[in-house]
Amino acid sequence: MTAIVLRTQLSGVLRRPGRLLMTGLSVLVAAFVVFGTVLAYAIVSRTTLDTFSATPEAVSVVAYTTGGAPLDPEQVAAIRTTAGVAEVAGRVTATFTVGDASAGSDLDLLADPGTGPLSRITLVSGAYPAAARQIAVDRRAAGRLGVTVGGTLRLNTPNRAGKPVTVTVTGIVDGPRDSAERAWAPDQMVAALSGEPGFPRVDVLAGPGADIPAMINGMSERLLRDPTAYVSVTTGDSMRVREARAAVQQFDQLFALVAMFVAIAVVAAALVATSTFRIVFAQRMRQLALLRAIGAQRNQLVVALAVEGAVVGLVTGTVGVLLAQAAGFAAPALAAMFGRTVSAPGVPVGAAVAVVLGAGLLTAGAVLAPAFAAAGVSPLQALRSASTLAAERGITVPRLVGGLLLVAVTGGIAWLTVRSMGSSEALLYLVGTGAFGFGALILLGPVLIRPILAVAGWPLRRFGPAGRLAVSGIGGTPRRAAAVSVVVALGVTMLAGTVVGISSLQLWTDRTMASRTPADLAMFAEGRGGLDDVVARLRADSRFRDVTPFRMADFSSTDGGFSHGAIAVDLTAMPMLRTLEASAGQVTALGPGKVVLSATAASDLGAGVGEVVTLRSDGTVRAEVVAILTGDGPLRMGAVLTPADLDALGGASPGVLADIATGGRDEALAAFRGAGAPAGTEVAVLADARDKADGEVSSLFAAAVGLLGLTVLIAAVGVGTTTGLSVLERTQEFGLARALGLTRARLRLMIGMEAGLYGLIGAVLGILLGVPMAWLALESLRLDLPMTLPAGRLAAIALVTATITVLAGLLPARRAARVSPVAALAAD
Amino acid sequence: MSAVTATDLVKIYGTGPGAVRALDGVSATFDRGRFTAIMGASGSGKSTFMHCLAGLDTVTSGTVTIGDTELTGLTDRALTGVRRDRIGFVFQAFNLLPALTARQNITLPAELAGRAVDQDLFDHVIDVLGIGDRLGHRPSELSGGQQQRVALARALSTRPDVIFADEPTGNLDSRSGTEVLGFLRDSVHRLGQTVVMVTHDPNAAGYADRVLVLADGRIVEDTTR
Ligand SMILES: Nc1ncnc2c1ncn2[C@@H]1O[C@H](COP(=O)(O)OP(=O)(O)O)[C@@H](O)[C@H]1O
Ligand SMILES: [Mg+2]
Repeated sequence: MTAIVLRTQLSGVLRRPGRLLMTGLSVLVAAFVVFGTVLAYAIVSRTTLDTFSATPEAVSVVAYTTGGAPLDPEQVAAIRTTAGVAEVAGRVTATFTVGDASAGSDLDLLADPGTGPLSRITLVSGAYPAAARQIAVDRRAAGRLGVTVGGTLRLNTPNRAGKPVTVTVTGIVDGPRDSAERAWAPDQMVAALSGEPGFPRVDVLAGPGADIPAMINGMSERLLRDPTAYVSVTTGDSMRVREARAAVQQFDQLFALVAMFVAIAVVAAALVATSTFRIVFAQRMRQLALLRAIGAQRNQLVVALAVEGAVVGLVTGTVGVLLAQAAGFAAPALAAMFGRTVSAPGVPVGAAVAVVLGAGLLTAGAVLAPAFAAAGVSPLQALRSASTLAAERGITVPRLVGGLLLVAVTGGIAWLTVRSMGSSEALLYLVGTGAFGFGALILLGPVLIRPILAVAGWPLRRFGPAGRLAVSGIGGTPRRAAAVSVVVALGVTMLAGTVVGISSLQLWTDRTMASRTPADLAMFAEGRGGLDDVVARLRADSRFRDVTPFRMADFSSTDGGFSHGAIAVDLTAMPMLRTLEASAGQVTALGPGKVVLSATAASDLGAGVGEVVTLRSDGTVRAEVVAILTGDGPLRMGAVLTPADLDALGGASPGVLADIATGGRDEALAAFRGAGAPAGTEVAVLADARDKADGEVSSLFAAAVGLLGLTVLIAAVGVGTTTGLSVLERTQEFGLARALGLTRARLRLMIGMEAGLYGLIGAVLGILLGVPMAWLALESLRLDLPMTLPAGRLAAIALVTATITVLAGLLPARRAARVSPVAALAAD
Repeated sequence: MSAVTATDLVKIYGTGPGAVRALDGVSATFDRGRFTAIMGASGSGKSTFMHCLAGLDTVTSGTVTIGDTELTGLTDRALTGVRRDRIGFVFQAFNLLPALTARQNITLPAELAGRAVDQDLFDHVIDVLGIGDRLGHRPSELSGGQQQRVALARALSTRPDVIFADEPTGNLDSRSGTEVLGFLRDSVHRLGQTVVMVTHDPNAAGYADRVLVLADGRIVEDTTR
């Protein structure tokens, strides 16, 4: 009997392969995404293993320390004198600050022999450093720092105690790039400049015909004599493999994150599949009722429908996997077109089979709930007419109770989340809140449709009859609308949460940047001499605006326990300075005998607003605290004083801040440098640091939105299939509407709007759930980020989601518009 | 002047040897304020005739004129407008949009045309048909007879040039059927409507002023009472 039932169902499926594809489309996309991720991982790791290495090909042996002290000069000498060693090169990176110690730009100084097989750089112009206090810079650093061959730079060592060193730039080189500006010098000179005589790593070039294993043994014996040394010796080849592995490992974390997003997309696909099958089974209600009438048992129907689901899942899963594999094979050719070399992914058969089986299982599981519902059909339904079947009531009482219960549970866990603020359980509770909240949304969805429709559908009603028809069409089938919208909501919840989180991060970055990089350009003079001429000249130059002089000095607490910088600057002179926020007091209250403190300085001094603090340097200043900032002071200073008070502190050096008004940054930089500053003056491009921070936030944003876009894509597929299936089912309805005078264009518009409404309702639900979740996360994870409500971005999400779903509905809408009005009269 | 005129209508379904000549040169005029029944055996071409008269389907040759508008050659858009503004429909089954309430279904044509509903006419029609207490319900909550009455109300409330009804009683029990036929006749005699009704039921045809009988796509009998 089951077999016969199954055959009647499957024969229907086979007669209409298009419908099979439609019901399984979400599964197809999910399988494609999952297997595509597997292949992308394979491509990335193979490419990395094939091409990545930071160790030159010629290096035959590498000695390095893992943690602990670097290899000291004696150990390096021991390596150099080992039999068979032709050449050694120490590898170390020292970071300096150019310009002001706290506000200048960073410069990484790397050790490199400059020539020969162990070198990683090529000389562009000038000569490679050959004496103390000489460096070569890469082209980017040369441009940014404004040095040419023969010029000098003042380097501040990272530990502030060290005196600044002035070095001569002897050459410009090309070498491996990084985000920071880079300079290069032979290992001994780097060591001399940084004051650290050892190297964490030494590359060794073997002489011709040298016995590498013997060399390694020899080295190990001499280096490991000291049992406390954490020294390892290995071949260049194994080092290269290790570096490649490490690079791949960094992708492991990335892919673990991607896998999380893919998992959410798979959940979305399962939800879409459930909703699609519910519609398909509803359309077969009369046939199923007939089967029940002639004696098919409920469980027989359930089994038959579940098997049908599994078959759909297996078929569409296979198609998805094959498509992904084809795309994987095409990747190297595609990359080659863009001048990139990418390795082919291979054919991971095991993973492919797993994905296909998973798709089958997932779909069979997704089909269960609709299968039970469909099998519960009363045999009497066979005798009812189609229009009665289209009726849909609200939700059942158990469902309502279950939904309300989940709301209560969600609230409880949210409360727990707030209570466990900052602890490690907070994250767990947070995930729980999200999961239960979403469960509640699934159960209560149909009840929420009408109220949301009343608000979200309001603008559509003004679109005339097509809009009103669309709104009532959705309102008339709240369960179907809820099933689709909830999937959209899943994607939008994640998106909205991410957008809120990233907006908070952005606000935080902006605030930090307001203090760290208050201007585009900064100039720091070395001596006491004033920069009045420079200020006047810059003010006269139309390329600059907000030209603001400042002076700064150091101070310490009475017991000398810590040291901060103090600055005297007009806090109203620059736009960025005006954005500085106080957590207590008023920044504008600054005046003689008053001080504004940074958050850290205030806590170091243990002072609150209204109290009087003593700042000590060459002189002593007592001042009343009028405000405490949310973060650092301008240029990361601890205190802001009036010029007179700063002078009383003593030892102040002047500087100028300016924003670029017109023209390019490099051009402005050159003019800034040429403004006639005294010798020893340093210039910093603060705008670079700000751009870098902004760039990091926006690439984070782009990556998160891109990954979450997957879920929205699957939701759009859901909307498309739902609309498509509804259109098939509503042929008579559309025919009738056409007979009564609805034009083709309006019918298309109406169906498009219905699809858009699914998206809009989902977006509203998603934002309602996602924003509080994000706030809860910011609060409970103690990220110290401000809470934001990025209304513009959230509105954009809603709009884009609605647009995408309208597009998804367009294809079925076109088909529906072709329905002849005579279809209304066709007795079914 | 006549409400509807058909001249030499030919309708051929399909091509080649499988082609069916559903209408084979039918000419007829339907006067204003008359109730005409079209009868005939199943497959004689009644529905096809009505579809062509109402601009629901295109004809192979011949012309159809409603009032002074010739339907043949009109664009889909214009044809849709004619149906909306000048024709009322009552079908055998599936007359109402399931998502709309009875009231919304009745006012749908006015809404589609962007016209205000004629409230007096609406109230009168509702009153005559006795569906005042069902206006807030959706079709699935109405009986078959009530659904047909709502459809009738929709057809009447635009004051169309002509109402076409295709087997309007086919799905109803005899009492509801009698009621609906009574309403149709009253709308002709009291409101001056023009009604063309397709039926294969001689009892139903008995309500009409004139009966056309089709056989194999031709008019074989034309009786006026
Ligand atoms: N869409 C169609 N395609 C092909 N043949 C059709 C179609 N509609 C009707 N016919 C044929 O045209 C003839 C007249 O049909 P119809 O007008 O529906 O008859 P009636 O309504 O009198 O029962 C029949 O032979 C029928 O088979
Ligand atoms: Mg017929």
